[in-house]
Amino acid sequence: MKGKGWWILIGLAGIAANGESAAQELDSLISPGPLSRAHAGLAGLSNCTSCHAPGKGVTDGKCLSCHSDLEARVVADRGFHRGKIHCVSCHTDHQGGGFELIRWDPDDFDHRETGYALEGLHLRVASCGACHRPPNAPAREKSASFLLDDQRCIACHEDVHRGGLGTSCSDCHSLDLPFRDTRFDHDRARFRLAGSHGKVQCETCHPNQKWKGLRFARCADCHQDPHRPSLGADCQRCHSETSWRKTKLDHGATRFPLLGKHEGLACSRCHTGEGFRGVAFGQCADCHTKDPHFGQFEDDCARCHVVESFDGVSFDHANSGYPLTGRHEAVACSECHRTEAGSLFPDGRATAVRYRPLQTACKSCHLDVHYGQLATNCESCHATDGFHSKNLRFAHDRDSRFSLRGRHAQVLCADCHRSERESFPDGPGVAVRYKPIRDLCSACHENVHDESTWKASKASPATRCESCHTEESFELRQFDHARASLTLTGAHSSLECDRCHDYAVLPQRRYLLFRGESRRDCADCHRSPHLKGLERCVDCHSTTNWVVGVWKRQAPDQGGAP
Amino acid sequence: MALSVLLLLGLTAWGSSYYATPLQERSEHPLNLWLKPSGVVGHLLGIAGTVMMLLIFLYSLRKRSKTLQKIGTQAEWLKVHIFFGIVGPVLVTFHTSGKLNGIVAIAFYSMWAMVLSGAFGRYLYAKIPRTISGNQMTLKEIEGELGGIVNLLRRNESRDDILAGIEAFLARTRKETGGLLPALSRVILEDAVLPSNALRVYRIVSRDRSLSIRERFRVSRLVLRQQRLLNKLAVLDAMKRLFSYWHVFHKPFTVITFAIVFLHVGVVTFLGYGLHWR
Repeated sequence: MKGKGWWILIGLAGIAANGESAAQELDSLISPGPLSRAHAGLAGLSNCTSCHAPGKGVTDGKCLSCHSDLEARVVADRGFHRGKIHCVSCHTDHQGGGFELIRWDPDDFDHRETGYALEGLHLRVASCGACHRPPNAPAREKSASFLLDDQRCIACHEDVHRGGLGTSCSDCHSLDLPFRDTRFDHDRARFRLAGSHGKVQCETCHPNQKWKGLRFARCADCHQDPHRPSLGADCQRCHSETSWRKTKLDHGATRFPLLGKHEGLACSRCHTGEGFRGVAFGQCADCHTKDPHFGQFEDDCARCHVVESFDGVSFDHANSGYPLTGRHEAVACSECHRTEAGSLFPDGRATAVRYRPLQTACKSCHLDVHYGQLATNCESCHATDGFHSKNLRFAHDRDSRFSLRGRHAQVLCADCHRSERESFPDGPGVAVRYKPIRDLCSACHENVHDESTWKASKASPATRCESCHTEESFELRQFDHARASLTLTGAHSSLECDRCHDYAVLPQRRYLLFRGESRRDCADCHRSPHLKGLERCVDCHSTTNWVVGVWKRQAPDQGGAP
Repeated sequence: MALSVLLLLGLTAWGSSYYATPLQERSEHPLNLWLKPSGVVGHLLGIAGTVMMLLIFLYSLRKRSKTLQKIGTQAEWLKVHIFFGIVGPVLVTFHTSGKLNGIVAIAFYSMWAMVLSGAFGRYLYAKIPRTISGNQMTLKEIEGELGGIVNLLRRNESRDDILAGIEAFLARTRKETGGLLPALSRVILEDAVLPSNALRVYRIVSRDRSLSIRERFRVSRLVLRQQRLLNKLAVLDAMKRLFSYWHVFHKPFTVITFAIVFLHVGVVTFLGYGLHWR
């Protein structure tokens, strides 16, 4: 036992006697572990008390005596280490050379712990080094420092105002907006932005980042006077801050109040020159220099036009040489007043709407659908109420040779006046035939009787239609059978024609044969039941009574049937 | 003892995540301030472990002090010695939290060498027959115990058969050996084959069917005890010599351990970690 104890003492003494390397060996025996790289310079037995205070352990004072930059912050209660106690509770050492004394994850770091919370666009800053860079942090020899001395904006951001606007950047700039989008309240300035001034880009008035010392008492300090000659410095007499165009000028107080369409016009439409004064306005043509009518009217435009619109004319056609009546009233102007291309107008040859001179004859506008059959005076038959028959002025009885009577008065015009493709006075074409037209019945009516009979003889009172028919009806109201050499008496007078007259049957029609076959004897119609010797029927029978009730003999010349 | 085990198990459960964390990552662990060697609990464990290990010397002191020998038996003092000799190093091990650097590491390994050698000594100590007061038993006392077995067996036809079997079993183990290492080997081997020996004896005793199971166990236990006593007698001299040599390597570990522990305590006390935790 004793021997071993001596060996240990001898070993320790040998180590101690072996100089510096021996001291290192001894240090490695005593030390609880190698120091970190940052503190590697403090290795060695003689340096223990650099960090360890005898009897007190590793005190914060020992740490901060070296880390003086932190000490100032801890004392000032600033930065990440403010309020933190006992350095070694986070930064333990003697854990080996590879041990990281500072262990933190930048991606998981809550910047609020530093006392400077990252807000707004600062949250988008990609890397710590964007702000924690050498110019901002205290100089260090070995490692980059995250300690920022200055929390003011200017510590990281360049002052493009060159100090001219002070250091309180947040007065104008927000953390939530890019620097360009300031939130400066111009109302705090002496020049409040009103009207269109509020929409103007800052640079327009503040060129070259000049934010102070600008003159603004007069409009001309910023705006150029476009009036030649100048209308004076008091722009606000006419203009407002809302818009240059919307002036405050009351044109109604001038000699030319703006009415109708004139109200909405830009000033420059009339005030074409640089000046606002001396503009002629007596005649419309002073401004409306281009006459679209090419001199057709010598009167002032206002006779027809109103200021509300050129289209809404006030012209009354009744005051013209051609008052519009009937259907003409509803006709669009352009139907009669047509655009003529290359015509000769008072102001020369041009393309314009023709207003005057204009012919008033119907055919100057309307086509003659009658192809010259009728007189050129359309008004004799037609009125402006309409071309159609119900509006016609024409009276057939009065104005033609053929009076319409009886059933003719009820017949449609087209039944007699038919559409034909013929040669008319004005040429060949399709038109309703009015003239000439025959006034014979056969011109319209078909002869249902045997044509040969009728055609053989010249028209005579006995053969004309009127001899049997009337205009009231085709019924034989007018026919006297006595004229046919056979007076119908007794029971004969009430017989229908076809009891005695046969029908002639042709392919398309049939008709009664009135002529030709003559039935004059009783036997022509009646058959005698008697024996020979009684051929004269009338000896016993009469037309009133066929039954021999009273037989008498009558003379043939006393009437009755032969 | 049970309280110590419970406390240590609780400590293990509580600090398992911390102790499983790599050394360089532990500074981030929430239990670091508690369980690091200089932490609140870690430092207390170190102090408690050191104090317990110092109490180990009470046993050595008793052996040299007549006043203390009047208090309790040597076996009781040995139990206390062993208890502190186990719990103390375990507490110190928790104190180190596995961080072993420099000369303190030597103390740590030396400490466990001391514990293991103590355990080996206790093993040897058990192989030397002693009376209840802890003194070494005489051969006569052992032989007196041997005769008691016969009285336990009934007088029937299987008795002779059983006694013959027991005789044969005991005769097989009653071989004399020489040399320290063969003796140690035999002791260890006998312990290894103890279960098979027990089964063999139980089978011999079970030849008497009239014996209840309880009686069979009782007789078997006596036979086995007798066999082990015979074995102890066979290696008694060798064990005595071995035990006297054992002190030679148990004590140096103790000296080395405590020399470095005193150095360690001195340094940390100087650096301010004495009865404080940082």
